[in-house]
Amino acid sequence: MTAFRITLLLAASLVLSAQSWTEDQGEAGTAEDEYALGVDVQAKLGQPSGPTLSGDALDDATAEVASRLRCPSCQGLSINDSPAETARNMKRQVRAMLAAGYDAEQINVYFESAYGEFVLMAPKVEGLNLLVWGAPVVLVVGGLLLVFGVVGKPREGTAEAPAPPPETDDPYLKRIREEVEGA
Amino acid sequence: MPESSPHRGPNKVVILIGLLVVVPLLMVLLRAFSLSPPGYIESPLLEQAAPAFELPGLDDGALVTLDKYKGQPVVLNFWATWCASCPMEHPWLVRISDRFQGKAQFVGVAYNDKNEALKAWLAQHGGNAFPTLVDINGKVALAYGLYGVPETFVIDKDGVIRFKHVGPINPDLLVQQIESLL
Repeated sequence: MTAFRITLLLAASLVLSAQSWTEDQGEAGTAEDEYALGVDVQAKLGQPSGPTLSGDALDDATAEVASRLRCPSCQGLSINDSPAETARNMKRQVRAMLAAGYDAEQINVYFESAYGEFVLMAPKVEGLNLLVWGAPVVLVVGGLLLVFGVVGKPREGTAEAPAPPPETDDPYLKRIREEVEGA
Repeated sequence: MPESSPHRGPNKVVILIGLLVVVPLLMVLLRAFSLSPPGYIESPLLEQAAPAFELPGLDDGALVTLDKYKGQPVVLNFWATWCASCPMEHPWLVRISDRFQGKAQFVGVAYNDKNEALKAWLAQHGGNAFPTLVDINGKVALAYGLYGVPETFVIDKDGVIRFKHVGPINPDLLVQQIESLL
C-alpha cells in the first residue's frame, strides 16, 4: 500500500512539476540592483582575482562566460542561449560577478559548487574526462589506420586462381560439386 | 572439409575492434541517458555547509539570515505561486511544520515572484504557517543549485545540508529526515 502511494505520488509529481521546469508561468521580479551579488559569493570565492569590467567589455565577457555554462532547466542549452528564467538569473549573476572583478575561472567554480560539473558546457580536461577529449582523436586515427591497413593490403590469393579443392570420396560432396560446376 | 576462406581472419579483427569501440560508447550513452532529467543529479551541496543568505521576509520586509535559525534543523522550501505542484505540497509542509513546532524551523523561499501574488496565494491556501522569504532576483536559488520549484533542503543544526528533494516532497521521507536530525 505504501509502495503504491509512493508510486502515485511520484507520478503526480512528475506530471505536475513538468510545468514548473519550463517556468513559462514564472513572473520575473524586478531587480533593484542588477549588480548585487549573493552574500555567499565572497564566502565561497574570496576576493575577486580579475579586473572589474563595464560597458562593452562587460557585455562581451558576460556573453563569453555565459556561453560556457549550461542552463540547468533546459536540455543542452547554454545560459547565453536559453530564455528560461533560471538561465536569465544565472546570466545576471555572471554579469554581476564580472563587474565585481571575478574572473571566468572563479565564476565556473561558483556555479560548479552549486550545480556540479554538469553546469559546465565542456567537461574539464582532467581525469576520466580525458577520454572524452582524447577518444575522438584516437578513434579517427585508429579508424584511418585500420581502413588503410585493410584496403591497402593486397588480398591473398586474388592474383592467382584458387587452388582446386582436395579430392573426396563423399558422394554428397561430389554431387554438389557436379551441380555447382556443371560437370 | 574445405579450408576456411582467407577473409575470415581480418573479419574477426574488425569485429573485435568494433566491439572495443562500440561497447564503451554504448556504456557512455547509457550513463548519459540515465542522468536525465538533470534535476536528478546528486547535489554537490550535500554534506556541505548551507550557503549563507540574507533575504527580506514577506510579512515585514525585515532581512533574515540563515544563521538566525542555527541550533535547530531547518527545512528550506523553494516555491512559487506559479508552480503547478506547490498547492499540493503546501498542506503537507504546514502539517509537518506543526508536528515539529519548536524542534525544527520551516522556511519558505519564494522564487521569482511578487509580494502581492505571494500574499494572495498564501491567504488562499490556508495562511502562512512558517516564515516566507522573498528571493526575487533568484540569487539564493542559484547558490542552492536550484533546477526548478518546488525543491526542499533539510539543513542540520550545524548548518550542513543533509537532504535535498527535487519536486513536491514525500511527507513520510521528510518526517524521517527531520527526525534523524533531532
